[in-house]
Amino acid sequence: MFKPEKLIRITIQVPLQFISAVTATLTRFKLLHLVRISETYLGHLGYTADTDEGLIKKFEELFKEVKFIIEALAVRAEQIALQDLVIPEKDIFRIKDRLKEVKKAVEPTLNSLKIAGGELVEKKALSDKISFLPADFDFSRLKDCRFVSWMIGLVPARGLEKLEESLAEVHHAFTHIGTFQQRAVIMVFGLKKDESILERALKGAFFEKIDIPARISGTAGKIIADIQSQIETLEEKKKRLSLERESFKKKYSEELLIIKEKIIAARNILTARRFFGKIDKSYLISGWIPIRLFEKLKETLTAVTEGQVIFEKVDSAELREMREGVINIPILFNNPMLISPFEKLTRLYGTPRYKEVEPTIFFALSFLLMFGMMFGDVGHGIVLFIVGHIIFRRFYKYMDYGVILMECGIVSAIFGFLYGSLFGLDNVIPALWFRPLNNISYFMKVALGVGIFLVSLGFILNLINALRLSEYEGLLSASGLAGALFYWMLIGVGVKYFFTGHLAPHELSVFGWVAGLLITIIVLNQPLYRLLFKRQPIGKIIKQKGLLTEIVESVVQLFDDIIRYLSNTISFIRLAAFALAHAALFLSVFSIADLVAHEKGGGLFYWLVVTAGNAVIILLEGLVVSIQIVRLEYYEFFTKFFRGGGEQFKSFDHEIDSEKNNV
Amino acid sequence: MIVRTFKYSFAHAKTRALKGNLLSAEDWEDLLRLQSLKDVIKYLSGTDYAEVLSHLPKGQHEAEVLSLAFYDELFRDYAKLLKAVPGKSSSILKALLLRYEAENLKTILRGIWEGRKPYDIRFLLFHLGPLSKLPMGDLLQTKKIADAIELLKSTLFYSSLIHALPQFKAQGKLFPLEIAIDTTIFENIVANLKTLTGYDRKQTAIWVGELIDFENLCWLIRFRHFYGLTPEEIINYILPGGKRLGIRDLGGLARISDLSSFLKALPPPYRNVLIKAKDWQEIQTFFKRWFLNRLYKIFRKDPFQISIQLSYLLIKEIEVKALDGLVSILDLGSPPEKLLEFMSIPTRGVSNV
Repeated sequence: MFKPEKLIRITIQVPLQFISAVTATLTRFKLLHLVRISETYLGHLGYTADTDEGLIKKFEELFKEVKFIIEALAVRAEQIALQDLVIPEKDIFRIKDRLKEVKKAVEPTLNSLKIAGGELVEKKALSDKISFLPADFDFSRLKDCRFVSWMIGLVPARGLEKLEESLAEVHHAFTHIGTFQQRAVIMVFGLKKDESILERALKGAFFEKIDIPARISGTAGKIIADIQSQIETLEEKKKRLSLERESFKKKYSEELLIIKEKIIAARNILTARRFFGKIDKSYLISGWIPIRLFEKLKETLTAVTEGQVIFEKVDSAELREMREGVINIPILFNNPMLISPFEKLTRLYGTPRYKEVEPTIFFALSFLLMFGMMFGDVGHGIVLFIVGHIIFRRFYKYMDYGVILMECGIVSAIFGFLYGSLFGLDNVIPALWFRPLNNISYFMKVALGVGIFLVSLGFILNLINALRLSEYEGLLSASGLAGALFYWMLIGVGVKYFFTGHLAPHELSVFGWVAGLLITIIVLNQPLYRLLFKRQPIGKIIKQKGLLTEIVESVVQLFDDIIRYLSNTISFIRLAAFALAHAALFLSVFSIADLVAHEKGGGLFYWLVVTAGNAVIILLEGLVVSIQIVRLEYYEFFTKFFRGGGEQFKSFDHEIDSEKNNV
Repeated sequence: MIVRTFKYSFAHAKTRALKGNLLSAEDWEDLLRLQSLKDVIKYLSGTDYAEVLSHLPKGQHEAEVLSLAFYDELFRDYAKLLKAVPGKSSSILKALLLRYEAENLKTILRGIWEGRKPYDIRFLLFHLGPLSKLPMGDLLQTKKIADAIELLKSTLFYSSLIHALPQFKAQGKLFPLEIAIDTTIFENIVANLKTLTGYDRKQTAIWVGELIDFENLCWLIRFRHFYGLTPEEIINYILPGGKRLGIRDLGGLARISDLSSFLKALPPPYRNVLIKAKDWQEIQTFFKRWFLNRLYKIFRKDPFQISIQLSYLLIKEIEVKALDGLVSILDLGSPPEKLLEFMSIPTRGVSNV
């Protein structure tokens, strides 16, 4: 949970005759992050697999065909589970024949529909282009130009001044007719003899010519009217053809979806081989898998290949690509179901490196705690939970956000009980802890406490990261252990003074001595690092160039960091501020409701205002609070320890999907 | 002023410390005496480059690997200063760093265009790491230029690349796309000036303008006299936002074909700086030296401004490019002193040029 899954790099050597079976097994065995052999040193040496590109191409063509028919018939995309095992080499023939028959039946209608649609688009586009021109603009007269060249087209609007300058030496005129997709629509005239200069200048200005068909003549207004009448005729034709298409859709949709799934499965098996390498008659498959799955994968593949598979575990330190920094160990998050939805938010900030602490658990728990503190209301919590549950059940794609909303709802309800608030009514349930509006200064202390805790946690995680990544250089600096001790001591003294109102002389004395020692360590952190960790002799350190600037830099950094840590801590007061704003918004809603209650039919209006007010608070305040928490997490917490720059784990099927998309 | 002092005190101390670690004139004198890549590595292991060089795999090093390692040092400095400067001002540093993102993008597009393997393309890229915002993995797997451009939808390159796509298709050359990328980068730098306020904006606008003048002059000379493009085409590739060279001035310069008229047509102070150039190549070298001197002079001005960090990064960039040049020269078997003909490096006696 605190660490990503432990991964090992494996290389599997599979005899040629088993590659389809092994690929199919790996496709089902999702937790494998494939390494593209072509990107490794082996690939560089030419040991890449010779995939059956011809067969892939055939499946690609079939996929395009089936996709075209499915789209053209407007068949609703549905996931269909295939019952049979797909063997690309055999299935190609059956799929091809059946698709041919379906295509023969539907093609004439679809083609006519496509042509009609195309013509419609063309007519409309032409109409749009010409509509830039004045209605009395006469194309017939332009055609008679014997000494003048003209062009209509688009150029990036910011390039007009440069275009003007580039044509300064030749007779020309250009008119800015309008704007289209951030580009200027211009019409350029120049002498026929200068046509080549005109073209070169326009080339440099990224000019995109609009082709006006040669057959066009007459005024722009008349041409647009003619085009409109043609558009109407085409639309009627399109309507008739669409009815025919509907009948085909009913007849073939299910069969077409099955064919499509079979093609995808076959393509997956063949495409996966692009990741592989090949030596003689064996394929090489390389990737990262969780250590816990290594034996299971080995057993499964040994069974599939009748014991003819060779497994090799590779130490990451021995990999040339790792040493050169070309590849990283990918990060596979390893969190319980209730925490894993927050991984998306962690990833938004960055992907931790393999040896770093995986911070999602801390992110999730602190997020929920802060959300509860700022948005504590039983009623609102229940509403959030219900909305989250609906998203979780109905919208598969956004399931993670549904879980987060449900969890936020629960903590919001818990804090609602602690604050004694139900839809803003504070006289319905008792407060188990305190009411925010009545205990403002106490709430601020609690918020500061949370801040101190999270900033300290950030320090601790930073130290753990520094040790794990062997980054000892900053350990004695203001952002390392020395800085953390100094911060804790300052906080300790501050807290003692805050609660008791005084500090004993011996406490002040200890504080002074320890602070002095820590400041000295921080200021001299670089020379001390060289002395303690690099074992350099003192003489060499003192004589080293730039020692004074290092010390000055450390002094400035010390002040900068202390101010930053304190401001980071104080920043958490917003937890109280937003909780108070939450309560204050309720007050406003109830004040408005009381005002309208005295009008005619006031009872109804009272509850309408209360309901609408609550809805606005949930939407607006919920959004604001979430943004504030993410800000606190990223800026005040993550910046203390998060290094990032890691590579995300991509499962086998995900990689193949990306590969297919690239094809 | 007081606000700026608070804002930049840490960043300034950090920059000063980094500047103190730049290679000195003595270092360069020694480096120019070295005869092999191995010696260069050994020498630089005693400097600030030790850290990045220690990450190189053991054994023989190819010149490209070594050059990229030097740039890693530059990117480390970018990362350090991005953390040190106030949030608002960091956007101009990021805009400057985007030039390397643009170089990577051009390399990837070139790789796709030439049908290179992903491993081979990745090998040539600057290691920007977390500083990069390009969808690198997906881009490298792309086989078509148009698909690669679609992947860039969330980046600032998308709009200009889409506009350049018709010309790329018409010409069958990457050139329009490369120009579109470069133009985007400099437009973005100019646009980011607006995120700065007061003194910061005023000062930064000056040297950004000079940097753009330099780029425009270099492009103009390269396109006109090395690639043989016509003036009417070149003028459209001019970057807006120059300090002393506007579109009209550059248009006029593009139409001049002989060197002496070209030099006379330049506005001061460029005319005075470049008048002694004997060929087109020398214009770039002289300008670069003058510009380097200008960058050093910024350090004598108000220390609490973003121009200090920007100047340092540009000086460091020039140093890294000089090392890159040295490595290439040694790799080709030419004498290292040849570097002095076209690079700007600190030399003893003459402050920094």
